[in-house]
Amino acid sequence: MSAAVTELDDDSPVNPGEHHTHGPTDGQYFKIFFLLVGLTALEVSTYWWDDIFNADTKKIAVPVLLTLMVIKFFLVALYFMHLKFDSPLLKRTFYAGMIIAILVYGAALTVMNFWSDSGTTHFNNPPIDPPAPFCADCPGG
Amino acid sequence: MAIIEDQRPLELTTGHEPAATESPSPLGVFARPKANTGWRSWVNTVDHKKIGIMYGVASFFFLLVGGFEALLIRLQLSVPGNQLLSADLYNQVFTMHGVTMVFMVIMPMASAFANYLIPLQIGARDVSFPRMNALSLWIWLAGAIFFNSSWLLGGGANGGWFNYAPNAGVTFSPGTGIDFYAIGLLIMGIGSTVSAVNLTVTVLNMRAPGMTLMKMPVFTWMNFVVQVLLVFALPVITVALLLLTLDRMFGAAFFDASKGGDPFLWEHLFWIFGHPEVYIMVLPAFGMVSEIIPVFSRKPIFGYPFMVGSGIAIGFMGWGVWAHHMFASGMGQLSVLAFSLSTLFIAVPTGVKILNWMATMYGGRLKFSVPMLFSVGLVGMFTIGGLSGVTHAFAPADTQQTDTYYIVAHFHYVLFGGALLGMMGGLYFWWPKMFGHFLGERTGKWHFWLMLVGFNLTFGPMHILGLQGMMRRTYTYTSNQGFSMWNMVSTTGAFIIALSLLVFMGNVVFSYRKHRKNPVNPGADPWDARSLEWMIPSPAPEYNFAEIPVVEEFDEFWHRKYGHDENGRLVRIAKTEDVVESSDPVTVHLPSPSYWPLVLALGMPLVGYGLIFNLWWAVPGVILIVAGIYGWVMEPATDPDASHGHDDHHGDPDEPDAAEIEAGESAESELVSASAGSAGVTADGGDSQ
Amino acid sequence: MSDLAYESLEDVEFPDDIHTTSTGISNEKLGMWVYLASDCLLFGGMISTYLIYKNRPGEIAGLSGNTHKVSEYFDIPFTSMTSFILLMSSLTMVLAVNSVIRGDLTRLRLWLTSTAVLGGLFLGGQIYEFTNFVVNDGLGFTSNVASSAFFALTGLHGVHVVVGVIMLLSMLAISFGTRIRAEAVEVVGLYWHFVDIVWVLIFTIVYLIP
Repeated sequence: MSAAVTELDDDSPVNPGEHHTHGPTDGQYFKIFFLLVGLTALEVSTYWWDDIFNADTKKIAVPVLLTLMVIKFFLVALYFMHLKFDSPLLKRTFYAGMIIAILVYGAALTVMNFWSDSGTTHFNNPPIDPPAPFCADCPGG
Repeated sequence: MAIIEDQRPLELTTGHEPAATESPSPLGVFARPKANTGWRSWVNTVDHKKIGIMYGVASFFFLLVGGFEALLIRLQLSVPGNQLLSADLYNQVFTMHGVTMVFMVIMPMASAFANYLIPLQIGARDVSFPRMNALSLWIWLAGAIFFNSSWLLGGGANGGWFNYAPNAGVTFSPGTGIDFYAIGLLIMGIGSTVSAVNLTVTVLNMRAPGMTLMKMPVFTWMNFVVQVLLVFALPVITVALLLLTLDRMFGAAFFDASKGGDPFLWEHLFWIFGHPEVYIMVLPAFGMVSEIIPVFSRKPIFGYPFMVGSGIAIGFMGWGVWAHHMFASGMGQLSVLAFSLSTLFIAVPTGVKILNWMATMYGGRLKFSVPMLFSVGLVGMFTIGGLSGVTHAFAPADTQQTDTYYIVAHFHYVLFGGALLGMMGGLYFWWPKMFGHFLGERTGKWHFWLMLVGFNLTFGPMHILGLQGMMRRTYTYTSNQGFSMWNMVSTTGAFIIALSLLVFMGNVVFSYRKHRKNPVNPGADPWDARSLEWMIPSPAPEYNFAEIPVVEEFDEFWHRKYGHDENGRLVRIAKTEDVVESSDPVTVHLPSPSYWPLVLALGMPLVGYGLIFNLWWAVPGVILIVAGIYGWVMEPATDPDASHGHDDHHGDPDEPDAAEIEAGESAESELVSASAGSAGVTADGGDSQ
Repeated sequence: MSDLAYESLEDVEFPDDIHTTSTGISNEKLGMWVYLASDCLLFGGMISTYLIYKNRPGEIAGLSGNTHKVSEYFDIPFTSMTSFILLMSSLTMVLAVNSVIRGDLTRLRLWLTSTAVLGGLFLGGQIYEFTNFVVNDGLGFTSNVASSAFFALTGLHGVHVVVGVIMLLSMLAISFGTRIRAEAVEVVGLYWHFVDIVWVLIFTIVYLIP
């Protein structure tokens, strides 16, 4: 076709190209990636904290891990997935799903006594001496 | 060469002379479907209107199936000590009744309207992913047939529609009925997810110029809320059903307390889905009523922003009330208190809606045609159902009512009195638009009154029965329990409802015959209505809008017909005939029909049978699914050889789903869009020339 | 030429670019995001299930199955390695997207291939890990609820990775045939990154938090 048409195409009405201008460059991606790697290394290191510091570090490690997880999550979502540069509608869509998931499942876990679950499981197992099941015909029942 | 219509989003032009020559013939398996008439045109269609009508027909068929099951239940309960159904069969019948009515009647009937009307109301030519739309219909239908085939293959599901654990485990339900439940619902869930993503994107992306969100008709708004709810609620039931399937077929013990599992988890997951589901079922009917009442009151809807806002609020708050279904489960006082409060709060936006409908009618010039009768019926009946619902919010009362007929009465007032009455009104209202002729008005009134009376006779007494202590799901009772009279009344009412449905079917047949004998076109705008779908001829032409309207205000069509004089009085400013679209479009580029969605969907039930009976059955299923996906990907969304002016391919918007289904095997859908997307032609980037 | 003429006329009439969708976001991309938002609840449900069951292997052998928690057998250094591999695949994915935006098809193919290979490596690691649990530690899918929940969660994630790899390979195949749309690659990338961030969550919540 004519040149005019090709020109129109470059204007790209179909895919308004935000990322042509706004998206991070390869170099920036590498920087974010190295940051992610560093954070992951830090996360993994918590596994040995007990040995290194010779103490029970669980109380510190868990919040640290959760914080690092959130940071990593958002680094990937905002930069690799372009949420930061794209239309806010996409951000809202994704956050809606995320927030509903967190609230709803958080509430469900709370109702199921997850936070106070000590890890002992006696209430999941039958009592030590379970009462004999009702049975009309059993001898002595 | 260029044609106006080609510039609409549906046909995103690339501007290239596209690679028409390169586009592959679709694998040579199927000739590209071209039929525009006959049954083939229905099988291969991607037209949202035909898909909507098929949803409607299929859901009406299942309404008859579920209605038959309801009649069996009522017959069984009509007299004490009845032996018509055995206890086991009774369990199956009420379970199948519930699941059928929820997943195969109310939801798809709402889908029928949503598919048909949303694109029309927002001024679009089709949905954003037309082939995906066909796919969701076929998957849903395949799942529904699969589920009901359990009757012939060892008996239906018998765990109640919410299928509580541990009763649903293999120990207590060794048959295959519950397997059919789990896998059938998984399949239908895939279909609904596809459809929900599709319609969400449609509402956001396909609106006519000027149609901002707050200018959309209330029906579209309510359905948008519903689709968003579906998008977020379906994965939850998917998790629950996956775990159930793993329990029953693969030896896990998620819900088996004797092995450390927790039946409670099922209850939570089910109701996290189940409560939004309630709004998923009822909001579309609210939307319809919000369209019908203003038309027959000749007033704009009262408090449009509140109407929309309360819909959104219901959708949002609906996530925080699920545990009120579980007050009797012993989950702890604090939880009960919290969910009791949130349940009380959710009555507020619902009340706002009811008040708005009444305020719309107040001072209007009311005309009680059949659609309006059904709408007013909804307002009344739903109010009763809503009020009895509020009584459940009080936990002490609720523990008395749980699992009694009082609950049954409540949710039938909500789902029958709310959803079904509204959709019946919707049928009468949009029938001329869909089929080009009216349903009989006089017969329609018979239908309405019979249905209203029968409905109240059936479910009204259940309040009393429930408070007297009659338990639901018990297959019989004795004569000295004092339940006999009201049960008889209730059974009589059920048959009156059946009669009213017969009247409706008669109405459909006879009005069609009358129309055949003496065709009178109702015209584009038979009701003097307000929203965009009434601007186009009846029945709606394939291309919807010859020219996409530019929207300036809410109720655009009305405002094109009427204005106000200096005293604020309503005056007609234009004749309807001048406002409605009449011209034939020069060329409209519509998505081409395709067989692949059907092929893909056919594989799903086979995989289901394979999982239940013999894995070999799954082999042809998987082959069909894979073939469907690849056929789909290779086939351009728009046939390059079609006789439309100008062959611009828009990169297949659909392909994503193809891949999706693949994931569907893992019981959930992946919107894999792009893989396919690229089969189309490039737009930007790519190898720049 | 008539195209052009009409075009300019139209722009006057509808200042909002009529060629685009109402939101300016393409259908595919918006659809993918809506789907991903929906998937949040899918994985949320599976993660919650695992959390509820993770400390509940039965205590009575025979009745409640294996009494060991799956977390007793985690090989953190190994899993860190596979997590790192998945993270790296996210990097190659964004590089692929940048390449296709630049129109650099060679690099696109290179990065797509490496992403798919890294995904395959991750899957291989997962298979190795599962086999290890089953064969060496005797902890299978049905051993106890904790292991069922673990395998269900990581298995579901694995299925997502498989689908992602298939999509990547399809993109690769397509890049040799018809012209590829940059956005198609981007949308596949979105899916891929989502699978990655889900793993970020799983790795922390399931593996690292004791």
